[in-house]
Amino acid sequence: MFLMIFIFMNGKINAMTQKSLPISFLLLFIASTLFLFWQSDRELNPDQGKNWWTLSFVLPKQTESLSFNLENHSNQTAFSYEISVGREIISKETFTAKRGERTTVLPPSIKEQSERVKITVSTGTEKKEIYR
Amino acid sequence: MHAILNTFLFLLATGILLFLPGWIVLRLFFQKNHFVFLESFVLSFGISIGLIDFLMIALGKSNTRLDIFSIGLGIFFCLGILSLIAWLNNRKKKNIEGGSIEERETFAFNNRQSFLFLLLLGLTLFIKVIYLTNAVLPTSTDLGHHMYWAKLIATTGTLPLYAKQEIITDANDVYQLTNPRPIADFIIGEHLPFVAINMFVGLDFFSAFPVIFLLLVNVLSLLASFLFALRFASSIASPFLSERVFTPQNVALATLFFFGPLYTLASPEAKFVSGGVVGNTLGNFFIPLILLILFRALKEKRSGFLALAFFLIFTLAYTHHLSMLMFLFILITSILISCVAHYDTIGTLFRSWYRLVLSPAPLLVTFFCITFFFAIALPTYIETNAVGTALGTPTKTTRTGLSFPQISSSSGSARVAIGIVGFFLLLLLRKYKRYAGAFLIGWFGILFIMASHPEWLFIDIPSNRIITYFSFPLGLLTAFAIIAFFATLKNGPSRFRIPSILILLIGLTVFVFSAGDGSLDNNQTILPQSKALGAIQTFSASHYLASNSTQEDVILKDHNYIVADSWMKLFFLRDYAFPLSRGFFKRYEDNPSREQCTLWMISIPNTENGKKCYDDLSVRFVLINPHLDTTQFEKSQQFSRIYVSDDIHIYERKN
Repeated sequence: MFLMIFIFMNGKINAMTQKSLPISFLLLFIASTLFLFWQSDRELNPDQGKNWWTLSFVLPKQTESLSFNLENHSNQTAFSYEISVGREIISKETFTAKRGERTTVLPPSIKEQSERVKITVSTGTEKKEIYR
Repeated sequence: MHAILNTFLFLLATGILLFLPGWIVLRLFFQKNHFVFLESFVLSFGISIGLIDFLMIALGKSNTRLDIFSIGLGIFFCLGILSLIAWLNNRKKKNIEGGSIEERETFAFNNRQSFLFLLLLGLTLFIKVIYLTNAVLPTSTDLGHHMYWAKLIATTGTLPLYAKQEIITDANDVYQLTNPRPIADFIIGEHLPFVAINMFVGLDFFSAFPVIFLLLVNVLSLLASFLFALRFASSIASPFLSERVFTPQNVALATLFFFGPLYTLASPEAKFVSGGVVGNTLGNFFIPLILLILFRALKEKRSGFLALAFFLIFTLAYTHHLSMLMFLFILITSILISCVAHYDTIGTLFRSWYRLVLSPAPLLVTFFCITFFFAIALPTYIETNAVGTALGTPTKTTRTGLSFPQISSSSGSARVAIGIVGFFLLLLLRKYKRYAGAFLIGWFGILFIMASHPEWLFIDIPSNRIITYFSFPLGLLTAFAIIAFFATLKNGPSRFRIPSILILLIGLTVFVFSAGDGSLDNNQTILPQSKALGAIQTFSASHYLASNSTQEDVILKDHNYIVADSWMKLFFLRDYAFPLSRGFFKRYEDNPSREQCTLWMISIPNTENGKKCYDDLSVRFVLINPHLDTTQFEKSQQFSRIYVSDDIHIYERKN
């Protein structure tokens, strides 16, 4: 029974090469490395199993420019936007954006306003706003 | 396909830079049979790290641009000089004493043992990799800090000045950013291996490579402990222990069991890997490796091994300050124990050490170390006089030591319980007279005192950092205790007989206790989910700002609620403290004299204090998590919202 406990630990020393231990370590480590790189590639891929999108001004420092970027990593492709000054909507359009692509929308520039100029982009039930 | 290419590149870079130079050095200065193959493999890594570090520091200090060509040529040049030294040495001394065939057989593994090694190592890597599946993406704060310096070195090709800007108030009560001021938290050796890999094969810092490199170091530290156990057990033979059971292989495999599949995730194991605790991870590799080679140098009276130990100690000094301090305490304690144990033959002992230390090889390495230290570069913590901050009477509650239950909880109840039995068993068997016993008793004893009663040694370091070093001697003692226990029971027919079923039950009980405690520890550490989506959004927002800001634009971000925020600085490479950061709230509460601007500018941007900070510091862009911080910016007319994603908003302050 005692030998059962040490079934792995006791055995006749034979010609087992010393190199088998580091080589087995290397093979296991290579497999681990390959898996972890594969996993990190998937996680760093903005489209792999993720559903998100961003909205931003193309020229954030030019206060008159209303051009905006939509970077789409979601399942939605149909978007609409409206531009409002205060409570007044001055422009409204629809556009499409493919998954994995950045779409630039170029509405006409307007003079600097005393009220907030807001760009609201919607898709499905989601809505995002940027403003100056 | 991309993963296969990255794997190939990583293995190519680590093979050529971090194994080959060390391997060549071992072959130049030592005979093949001085080491078992696994020892050569693990030592190659340690030596290569040292060579690459010192080479890159020397190149940087001589104003040579660090790149693939200078590093490649430098390696050839270094190995050329070392070959010359080895050739001159071998001319004088043709036959260096090598390991005997019997000695090599002592450390040979049979098929079953090799299979068990493979099984334990495979299980260890499997558990670590499963844990890292959700943590392999570059998100951890510490790793972000370290990779900032690594990327800075790789981008500029020069050694960095470890410094950062700070917010101060001048005499006119105006907030301003200082010029970069030195910081002692980082040591060059923590960053250079990453830089070398990046320069050599171009692997991106925003990939799995930093974590995989740390995983490699972590697993090699496991192998270093395995090798230490192998050599240590060969020196601890006793008439009370059955020679069939108490073999070096069995003790080493038991060590692999307690360091491998069990407790494999908690600090300082996989958690330090994913958390990017670079210095500790490297330190935990070097400490057992140095003790192993030092132990062999003293036991076998080989001056070459002592020279190698000196080189590795010097490498550790340029890699991690805390690990170096721990090592020095362990070394001094072990030497003191050896002296006390040999008080009756102390003269002989000192004479043997004297002869060993004053041999050509250790003297040559010492000369190189002293020259490098004074003429080329000091470690950062010496330059900034930071050593004094770690010594003194501990004052903060986090530094006044841990209670026994806390130590037990941190290191694993089973390991602590069985490890303490191993410690007393070692004392009872009077093995402190041998170097192996003295080293292990010193290693265990001093770390236990440092963790529980740091005031006795005037150590002023967070106790929870010290305790992470404790698991190594503890694991070795646990393995020793388990194997010694069964070896005692099995020792000879004249001893009292214990029924086999009872031995089996005891064996199963110990196994279940250890495995249960070790795997419970693993379960508590496992990450619930990946932070990939949050990190991707942070990187995307950072890229947007890096493309749309100038060198004059000051940026502020929040550390509390933004995932992977410390990685943002890699997009700008302007200063270690850029973007400015709202830190953990507790830090502002605990230290009222700390600057408050970074807190006010996000938490209360519309108050007088907030506005003054914005005006004085010229902060233009702010990144926040919209789920927690958006209201104060939405209601203000002073801010434009220029970028939106689900978890990040960027606001621009109007002029």
